[in-house]
Amino acid sequence: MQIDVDSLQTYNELAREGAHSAARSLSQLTGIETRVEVTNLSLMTPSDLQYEYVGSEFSAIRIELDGALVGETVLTFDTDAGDRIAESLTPNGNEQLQRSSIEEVGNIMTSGFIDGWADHLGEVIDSSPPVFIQGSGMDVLTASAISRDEQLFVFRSRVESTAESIDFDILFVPDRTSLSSVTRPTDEGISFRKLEVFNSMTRNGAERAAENITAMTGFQTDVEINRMKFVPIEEIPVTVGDRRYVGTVMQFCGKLNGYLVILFDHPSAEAVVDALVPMETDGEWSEMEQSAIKELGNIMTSGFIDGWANVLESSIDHTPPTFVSDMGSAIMSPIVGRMAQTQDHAFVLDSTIQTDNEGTFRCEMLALPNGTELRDVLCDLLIERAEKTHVDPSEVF
Amino acid sequence: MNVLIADDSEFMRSLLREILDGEYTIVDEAENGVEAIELYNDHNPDLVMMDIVMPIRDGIEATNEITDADPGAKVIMCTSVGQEQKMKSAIQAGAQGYITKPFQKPSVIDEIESVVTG
Amino acid sequence: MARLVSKRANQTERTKVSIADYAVASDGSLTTSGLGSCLGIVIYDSNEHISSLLHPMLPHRNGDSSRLPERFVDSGIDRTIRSIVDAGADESTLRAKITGGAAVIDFGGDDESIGDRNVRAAHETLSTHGIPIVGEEVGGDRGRTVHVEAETGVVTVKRTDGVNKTL
Repeated sequence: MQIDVDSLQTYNELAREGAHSAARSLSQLTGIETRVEVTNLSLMTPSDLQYEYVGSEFSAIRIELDGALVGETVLTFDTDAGDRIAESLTPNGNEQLQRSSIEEVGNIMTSGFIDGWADHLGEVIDSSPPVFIQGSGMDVLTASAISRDEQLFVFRSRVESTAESIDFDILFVPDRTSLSSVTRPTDEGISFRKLEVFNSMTRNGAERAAENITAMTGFQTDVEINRMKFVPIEEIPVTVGDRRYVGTVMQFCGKLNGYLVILFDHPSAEAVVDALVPMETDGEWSEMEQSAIKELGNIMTSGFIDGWANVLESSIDHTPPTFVSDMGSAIMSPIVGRMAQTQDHAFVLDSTIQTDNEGTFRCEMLALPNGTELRDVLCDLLIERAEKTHVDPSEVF
Repeated sequence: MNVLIADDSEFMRSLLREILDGEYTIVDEAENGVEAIELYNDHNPDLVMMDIVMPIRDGIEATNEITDADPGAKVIMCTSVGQEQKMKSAIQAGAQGYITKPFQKPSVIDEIESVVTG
Repeated sequence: MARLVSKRANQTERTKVSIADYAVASDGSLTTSGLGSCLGIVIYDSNEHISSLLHPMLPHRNGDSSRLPERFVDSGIDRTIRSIVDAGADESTLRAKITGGAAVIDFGGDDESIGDRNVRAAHETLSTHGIPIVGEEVGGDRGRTVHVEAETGVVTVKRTDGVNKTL
């Protein structure tokens, strides 16, 4: 099974337009003004997707698709948002009527989302009656989507209301065989297997980076989420958000060129610095504290990119780290600006590392490789070498 | 035994100082590859603990130049980079040992002892 | 995806402008955040009480019509001017204020930063259109959040080092 990277761009645009159309439908039905914040395509394991919904109760409407494109769409929103939508549609309705109205909203929005795809394919996509679900984590996908032992292509749009906080996600998880069959075969095709393997290599890299954090700070950390995203380049800063971060930026060069960004939220950065630099300092980040953060970034980066280099039997160098402290989106803007000179979409390898007991420590790692080079690397990738991410110096010396 | 440390990270130099202090004499500290070469010539140390990723000139280049001029020089790469190709270029440059960060004191001392006695 | 906010919108309406995006409004406010090397370019007509906010990321589109005009300073300004004039502004009385263009990351090297190039492109393009720049808070190395009062064109810039300025 192959996928053409150019078609990913088309699909992303279809998903984006679909999300706009779905958001417009909601506005027309309810009078609530909405806008689509981001639309992206991720390759991730079912458990990574579920992890994003763990801990939050949500309502959702699931519709299964058949015909030209097989898969499922899920519209998720928090329970309050569901109530607000229901109230605006059926102000005095009983619970049954409200649920029915929500299901119908889901139906209409899903049609809005899917119609563009059907038109693009020139074929019919059938949808099942909407199913209303309430739950968390695991419940977001059907058992059949979860049970398959493969990573999922997940199209995800975040829609926000302009005035009230009625935010929801539109998820579209197409069946991979079905997605592959609507892609015209080209020489540019990359096998799903290779994408999957590269994504797993990246998870290994992030796990190594997490181990390095543990070795240096004593914090028990683990990789919580790992995914490979394909996004329009200008959406990258929004994805990172306006929250303040402290971290490091590095450029890597060699077989693959690009940027690696490591961001700690403020409490995590302070915890890291306390663990690494035992002396008390006040106010802004001191030279020694910046140096400690940079060195941690350095070691995490190596843990991350060494796996790529070893599997590719090549070397990937990286620049000394630059210390950054600003809004996440502002940190990303010059990187995205530089990349946008040559590409409109980008692959973002995005991993979240955090401590087991939630909230204590959290760190985002974002790798942004050059798109054309990544494509070449994926073409040349030898799947049988994929396990060879780690080399012990004693084997070489 | 006299040791020269070459690492651009102030933090990493302080960690290495902590580990080596009491065991060996640290003669000086370099912050980049060019300084490493200069300070090597100044002090003629018994051992260099050399980082790889450094500004101006990296640790592999510096090692190359040091061992070219002094074939008896002993250099241990002390780096976060764990890439096989990099390890091979370190050997080519004349390094005798390789420690990956993050490290623990015993492994650093073991590697130093094995390089110095070996 | 640019939007023209209708005159019916209530006074408290805040319109968020994303990267490579612009919006025109005659009441409420326009905001954009996470300005690093990007610019926040405000073009407004205080007589007609109408303002626009553009958030481009790179200086020049170089005539490549396949690329989104709002992504670039030059083509983005052209597009925004057309929109604000269509919405009732008088082209001859337009004024501009520019913010952003910071070097949040020190990439080293001697190349002019994207932020500086963006600021230069904004000066060139606005000058070509004969639009005077009456307020400017650019450069430095800190991120910014920009808030525009649509009726008056009054701009508030919040920098992440805690400094706030009104233009």
